[in-house]
Amino acid sequence: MPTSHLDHLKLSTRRKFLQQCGTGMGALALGSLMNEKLFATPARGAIGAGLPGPHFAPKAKNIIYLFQSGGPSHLDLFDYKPELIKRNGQKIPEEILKNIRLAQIGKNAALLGSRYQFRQHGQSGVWLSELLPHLATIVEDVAFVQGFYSEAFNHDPATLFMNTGAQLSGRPSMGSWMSYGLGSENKDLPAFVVMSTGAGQPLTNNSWGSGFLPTVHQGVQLRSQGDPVLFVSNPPGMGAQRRRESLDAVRDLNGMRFDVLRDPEIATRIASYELAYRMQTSVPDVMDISKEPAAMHEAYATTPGRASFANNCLLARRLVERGVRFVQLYHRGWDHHGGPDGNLVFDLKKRCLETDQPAVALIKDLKARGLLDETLVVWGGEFGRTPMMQGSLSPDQLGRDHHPHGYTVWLAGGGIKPGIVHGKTDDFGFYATENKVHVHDLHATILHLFGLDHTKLTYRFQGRDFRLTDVHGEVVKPLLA
Amino acid sequence: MRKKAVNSFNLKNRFSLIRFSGWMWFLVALVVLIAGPGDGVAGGVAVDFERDIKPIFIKRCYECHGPEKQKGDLRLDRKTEGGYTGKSDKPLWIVGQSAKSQMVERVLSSDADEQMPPRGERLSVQQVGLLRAWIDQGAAWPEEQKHWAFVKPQRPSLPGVKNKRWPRNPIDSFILARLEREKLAPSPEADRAVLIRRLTLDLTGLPPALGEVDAFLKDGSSQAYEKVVDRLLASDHYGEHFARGWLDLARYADSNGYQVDLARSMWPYRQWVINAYNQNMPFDRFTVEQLAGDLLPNATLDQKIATGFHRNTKINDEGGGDEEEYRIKAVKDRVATTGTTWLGLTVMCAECHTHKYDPISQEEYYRLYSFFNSTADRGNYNLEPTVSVPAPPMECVGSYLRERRASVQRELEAVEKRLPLEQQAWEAKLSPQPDRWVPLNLTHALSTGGAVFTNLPDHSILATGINPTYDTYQIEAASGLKRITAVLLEVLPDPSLPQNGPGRWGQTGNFILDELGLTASPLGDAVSPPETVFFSKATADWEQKYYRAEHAVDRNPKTGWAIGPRFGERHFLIAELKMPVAFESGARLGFRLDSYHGNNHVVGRLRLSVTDEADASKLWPLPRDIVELLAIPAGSRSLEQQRQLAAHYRTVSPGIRALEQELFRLKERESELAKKKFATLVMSELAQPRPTFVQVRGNFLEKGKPVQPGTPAVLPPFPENEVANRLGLARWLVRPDNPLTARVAVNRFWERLFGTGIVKTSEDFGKQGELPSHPELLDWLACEFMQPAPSPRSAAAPPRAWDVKRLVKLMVMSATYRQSAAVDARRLELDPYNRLLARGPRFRMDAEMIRDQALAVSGLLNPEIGGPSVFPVQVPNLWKELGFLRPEIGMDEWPTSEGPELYRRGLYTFWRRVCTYPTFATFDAPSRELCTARRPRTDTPLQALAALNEPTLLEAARVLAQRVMLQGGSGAERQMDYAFRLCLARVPTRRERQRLVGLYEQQLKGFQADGKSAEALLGAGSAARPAGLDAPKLAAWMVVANVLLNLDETLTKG
Repeated sequence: MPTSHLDHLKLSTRRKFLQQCGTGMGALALGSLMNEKLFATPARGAIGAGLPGPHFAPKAKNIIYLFQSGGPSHLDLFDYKPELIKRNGQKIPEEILKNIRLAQIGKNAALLGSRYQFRQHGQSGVWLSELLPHLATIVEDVAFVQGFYSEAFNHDPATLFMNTGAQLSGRPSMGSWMSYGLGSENKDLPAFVVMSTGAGQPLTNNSWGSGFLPTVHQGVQLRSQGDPVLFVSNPPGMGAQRRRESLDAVRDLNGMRFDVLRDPEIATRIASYELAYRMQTSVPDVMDISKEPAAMHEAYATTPGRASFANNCLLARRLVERGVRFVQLYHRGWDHHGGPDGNLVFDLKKRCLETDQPAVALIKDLKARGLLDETLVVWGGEFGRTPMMQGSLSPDQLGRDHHPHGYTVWLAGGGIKPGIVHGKTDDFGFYATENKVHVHDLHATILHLFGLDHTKLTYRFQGRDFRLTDVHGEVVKPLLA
Repeated sequence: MRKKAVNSFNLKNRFSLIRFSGWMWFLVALVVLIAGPGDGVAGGVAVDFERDIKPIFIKRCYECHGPEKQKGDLRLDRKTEGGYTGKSDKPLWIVGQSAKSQMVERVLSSDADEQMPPRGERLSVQQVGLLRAWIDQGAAWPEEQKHWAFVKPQRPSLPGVKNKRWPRNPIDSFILARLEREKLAPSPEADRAVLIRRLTLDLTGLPPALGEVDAFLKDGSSQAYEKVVDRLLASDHYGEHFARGWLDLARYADSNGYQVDLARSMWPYRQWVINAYNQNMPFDRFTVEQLAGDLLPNATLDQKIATGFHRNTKINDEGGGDEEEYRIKAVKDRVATTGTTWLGLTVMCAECHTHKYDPISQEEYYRLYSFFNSTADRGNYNLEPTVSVPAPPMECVGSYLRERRASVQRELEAVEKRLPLEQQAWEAKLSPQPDRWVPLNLTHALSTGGAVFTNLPDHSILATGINPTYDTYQIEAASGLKRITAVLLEVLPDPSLPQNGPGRWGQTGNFILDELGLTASPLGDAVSPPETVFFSKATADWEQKYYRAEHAVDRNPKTGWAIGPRFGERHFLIAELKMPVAFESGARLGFRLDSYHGNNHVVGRLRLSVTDEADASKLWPLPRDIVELLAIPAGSRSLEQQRQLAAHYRTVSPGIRALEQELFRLKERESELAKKKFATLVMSELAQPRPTFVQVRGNFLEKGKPVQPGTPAVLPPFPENEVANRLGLARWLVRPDNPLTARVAVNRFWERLFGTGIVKTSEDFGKQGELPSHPELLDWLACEFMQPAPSPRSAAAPPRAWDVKRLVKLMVMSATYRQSAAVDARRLELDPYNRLLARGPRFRMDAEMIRDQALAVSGLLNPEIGGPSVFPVQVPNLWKELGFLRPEIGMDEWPTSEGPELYRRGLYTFWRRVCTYPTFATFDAPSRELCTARRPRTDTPLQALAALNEPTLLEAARVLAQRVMLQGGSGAERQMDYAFRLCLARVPTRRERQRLVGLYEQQLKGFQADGKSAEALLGAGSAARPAGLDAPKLAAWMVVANVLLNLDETLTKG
C-alpha cells in the first residue's frame, strides 16, 4: 500500500513511464516530464481516510503567518485590563497561581497594569493600545482571538507547539502538513516559505521542518542576505548560459542511462534538475522588490536591499500572488523580561514600530488586490506575558515573564469572520475564560479553512497515524465567515 | 485547470487503491452507501474481522471496553461471545441477524443514554454496514494468533527452486523461490565495473580507486569478487561507513539540542562505534557495552565511552526549565530509542496509555523506564558525568599548521623588505598634519553601576570605587569641530586596575564593550534634543576571537568588542560615523558605553577623541612622540629617530599587521591543540536507585503506582538470576530466545544494502508495521546471525555468533546482490519498489556519501579516521540568522576549519541539532534530535541546486579537473575516459563520450573568448591550484567535472 505522498507522486510518474516505455523513450517522454509539477505535487485526490487532498471546498488558498517570536505582551497591546491597572503593585490573588509553574519570576511578583493608553475601535469595540495605531484602522477586517491559550512556557517547546502541535521536536510543522495535503500552486517555487528578521530568542529549523514527512515538504528559508535560497546562485564564472549548457549535458547523459536502465528515478532526477534551473530565475525575480512602485514602499515602509519585517511583508504578498501556499514570517525580539535588551518601554515600542505599519499595509494591499478573501493572515507569538511584573519599574528594566494561559492572536481574510472579538481572559488577563481557543483548535481551524479535515490529514510513522492536532483540536466555528 | 488535475489524479489513484490497499473494504463501503443501513449488505463480499472490524473496535470501543477499562464488564480487545447482554435483554449480537443485535441497535440509537460510542462522532454509515455484514456473515472472530515478530524465529529449511544454477548462497534460494512463484526471473549479474563500484560504496561509503577497478577487471580467478569483498571489509573506511548509519539510531550530535543548543564533546563515542565495526565486535557485545558498559566488572575506559549511546539525549540550556522534567524527557527518549533500535517496537506509544496495537501496557512501559531511571545525569545545563580521554592523533592538522606558519613567516620577511618604500608613501599621505585626532574634555561621566570617575591629565578618565557586574557609562563632552566623521576610543592600562587593566575584570583585566552609542546636538543649543548618531564601521588595533570591533557598533547588545589575551596594554577602537555630525557651532556629544556581559567586564580607563578627517585611511592614531618625529623633515632625522619611526611604522603597516595577526592565530591554535583536554559524556548509575512510578497520562507530576524494573510479558521472561538493571536488560536483549533483536538487526543491514528492509518498516516490527516480504529469509538470517551453522566445507572452528562482518559478507556474496539494476516494463509493473529483488539494488546515496565521493574522486579527501568534529565550509552567517549570539561560548558562528580539516569525511562534520549542516539536511539527513531508524529518500530541486553549486562540491569539481589535466593522459577523449571512470568506474559508451567531449569543446571555446570567467570559476575553494595549467582548459574541465558529479548515476548507488 502506498504510504506516502511521494510514493503517489512516483507512482503516477511511473505509470506515465510505463505508458511511454512501449513506444520507446525519447525526447517526447522527457519533455512531458519536464512539466511535471514536482513542487506542485498533484496529490489532491480525496481517496480515503489518511490520505491527503482537500476534504471539502476550501475558503483559503494561501496563508501568511506573521509569527511574533518571543511572546508579545497581550496586556500592553490587545487585552485592556482596568482591574490590573487598579491593582498595580499588589500581589496576585493566591488561588490564581495554584498549580502554575512560572519560567523566571517568583509567585510573589507584583501585578503590573499597562502603562499604555487603550482606546476602543470599530463595530466590535475592540480595545487597542496606543502602540498599534495602524492596526486600529483595519479592525473591521480582523478577528481578535482574546481567549487564546497554549501549554508551554519556555520558548523552545512553546514555539514548536505553535508550529507543530507538539512540544518536542520531530513533528512536521503546519506548513509542511499543508504542503503535504495540498501541494503548491506554483511549479517554480516551493509550497512553504519562511523568512525571519529581528534579534532575540533563537529560532530552530524544526519550527518549519517536515518532521517525518518527506523533506520535499519542509519550509524553504528565503534569506535576506546572500542567496535567497541556499545554492540558488551559480558561482562566479558560471553564467546562466553556461549553466544551461551544462544542464543540457546532464539531461542528455541521464537520458542515455535511462535508455539502458529504464529506472523511473532517473526521469524524476531529470525533472528536478530542470525545476532547479527554473528556480534560479523565479526566486531572484520574486525577491526583487526594487521595481515595486514608490507608493508601495511608502505604504509598507520598505527599503529595498535592507533586511526588515516590512520588506518581508511585501515579499509575502509577492509570494502568495505567485501561488506559494504558506508564507511564514518570523520577527524576533518580543521577549520582554525587563532589562536593557528586552523591556516593555523601549523594546516593545520598537517592535511595534517595526511591525504595525507593514502588517497592516499587507492586509490593505491584499484587500485592494482582491487576494484577502483567499489569503489567511495570522498574527501571534508562542505565548503572551504575565500580568505580574518582572524586573523593576525603571523604564529599561520593566518587563513581564512568559505566559501561555491566556493571550491574543489575530486573524484576517481567508474565510475568517471579520470585525469580531472572540473570547476573553479574566480580569487580570491571566487565564483564558470565555470561548477559549487552544493551539490545537487554531490548527484545526486553519486546516478547515483550506478544506482539510484535521482528523483526516494523517501520516503513518512509527506505526501510528499522526496528525497536526495529535488527538485534540476542534474547529472554532464562530471564527468562520 | 485545477479541477481537471484533481479528477485525473483521482482516476489514477482509484486504480492504485484497488491494487494496493484494502479494496474489499472500499467495495463494501460503496455497497453500503448504495444500500443504506437498513438494507443490510449485499452478499458476495466477505468481511474480515482483523481488517474490517477490529480497527473499529480499537478506535471507538477500546477506550471503555478495552485493556484498561471494561465498562459493564464488556471487553472487545479479546475474543468475546455474542451472548453478552449487559443490563439489556438483547444479546450483543445474534449470528446472522444483525437487525436483532444489541450492538447494531446501540450504534444506531439516537437516545443519548443508549447510543454507542457515547462521545464523539457517530459511527459512519460504512462502519455500521461493516458491523452488520460481519454479524450477518457469521460474526467470525478468529483465534488470536501471536504476532509473527513475537515468536522466536526457527531456522527454516531452504526452499526448493527450479533454477538450481542461479543461487550462490542460501539467501538466493529464498529470493528465487519467491520470484519463481511470481513468474519472474532474476536479472543477469551486473557489469564488473558497476559491481565493484556498488560494492565499494556499500562497504566503505567511498568509490573505488581506479587501480582497484583495474585489478578486479584483470583478475580472472573465481575468487576475484570475494577478494574484493574481503579487502573492503578489512578497510578502516568500512567502520566509518557502518558507524554513520548507527549514529542516526544513536542520535549522535555535537550539540545539546533544545533552543540554545550549546556544543558538547561526544566524538569519543563516535570513535568507539567506528572502532567497534572495524574490530568486528560481535553484535551482542556491541549491545551490552553501549547500554551498560559502565556496569561491567572493572569497566575499561572504552566500555565507559560506549555508554555515550544513551548520553546522546538532549540537554536543556534555556533558563527557567524544570530540571526533573528535562531529566525525565531524556529517560523517556532512552526507552524509545532502545525500543526502536533493538526491538523494532514503538514502546513510546505506551507512555501515556496502554499501547493500542502492540501488547505493551502502560505499566510495562514504566517497568522498562525504570531500568533507565537511576542514572546520575541531569536534565539542565549539566553535562556530567563525563570521562577524560587521551588526545586523538592530529598529525594532519598539526603539520598543516606548522607549514602554514613557516609560509606566513616567509611572507612576513618579504613584506619587511618592502617596508621602507611603504613607509615613505605613508609619511607622504599623512603630511602635513599627521595626527587627526582631537582628545575630548570629558565634562560629565556617570556610571549606572555606581563607579566613581577620576579625570587624569592626559584627558582620560579612570573608574574607581564600586566594581559592578554590569555597567553603563554615560559620558558627555563638547567639541568645537564643525564636522565630526569618526570617534576614537582608547582603553588604557592603569596600575590601579586589576592585572593593570584596561578592564575591571579581576582575573585578566579584560572588558567587553557590548555597545558604543553616541548622540549629538549643536553646542550652545539647549532646545534641540540630542539625535542618535549611527556608526558605519569599527576597527580596532586588536580583537579577541569572536569579539570583534564591529560588534561594538552593530546595535546588538549581545555582541561586543574585547581584547584578550593581550591584557595590560593600550588598545583602541575607531568608530566611523555613517553621516558626519555637522553643526556650525560645534557639537555637544553624549557617549554611552554598555557592558551587559557580567563578571565586571567593564572598561577601567578610557580616553575619547574625535576627528573631521574624511579619508578613512588616515585615521590610525599616532602617539605624541611619533607625531613630533614626523614633523622633522626626513633628511634631518637622526639615526635613532629614523629607527624609532621605522619601528612604529612596522606596527601600523597593514601588510605586517595582517600577517602578524595570522601568525598569532596560528601559534594560538597550535598551543590550543597541544593543551586541549578531551572528554566525553557517559552513563553512571546512582548508588541508590530512584523509585519509579507510573506517570498518569504520561505526566511526570502525576504519580501513579510504583513499579519495579521488568520487561514486557509478550517477550521472553527476564531471567530470575539476572540483575534488574541496565546490564541485565542489555543481556536480556541479546539472549537467543529474544525473537526481535536479531531480526531487527539483520533487517537493518539488509536495508542498508538493498534500500528497503525485508520488513520495510525497519523501526516497527509490531502489528502496525509492515509484514516481511520474505519472512523465511528474515528468520534464516536472524538464526544464522545468532547461532551460525558450521561451515560444511571446513573443519575449522564454527563461526562466531553475532558476527557482523560475516553477515554483511553473506549478503553481498549473494547472486541477489550482484544482479544488474536494469529494469524492464514487466518487472516495473509487477514490482515497482523492487521488493522481490528480480533486479539489483539502485538508489540515491546518502548526503555524506555524496560529499565523500566528490572529495575522493577529486583526490581532495583527507582519509584520517576519527578525532573531534570539524567545520567544513558552510554558508556564512547561518547560525546568526537563526539568532545564536553567544560569543562567549563560540557558538554564534561556524568556526570554519582550515587546511586538511576542510576535506574530512562527512561523518566528522560538526552536527548541530538545531541547524543541521545545510547540504546534509537538503539530502534528507535527520537533525539527530531523536532516534532515526531510516532516512527518507527524496529527490528535490533543492538537492539539484546543492549538488550543482555547494562550495565544497564546486571545489571538488575544480580539483578533479586539475587531476584530469595532470594525470589523465593526453587528448580530450582519453582524459574524458579517465574522468568518467574516476566517478563511475565504468568506461563511457561512445555516445556518452561524444556528448561529454562536445561539452568540453563548447566550454573551452567559451572560456578562451572569456578568460575572466575562466579565472572567476577557478576561484572556487582554497585548495592549491598547480601553476602552469591553461586556465580556459582547466575551467572547461571544471564544467565537465561539475556535470559528471551531478549525473544521476554518480549520485546513485546502483
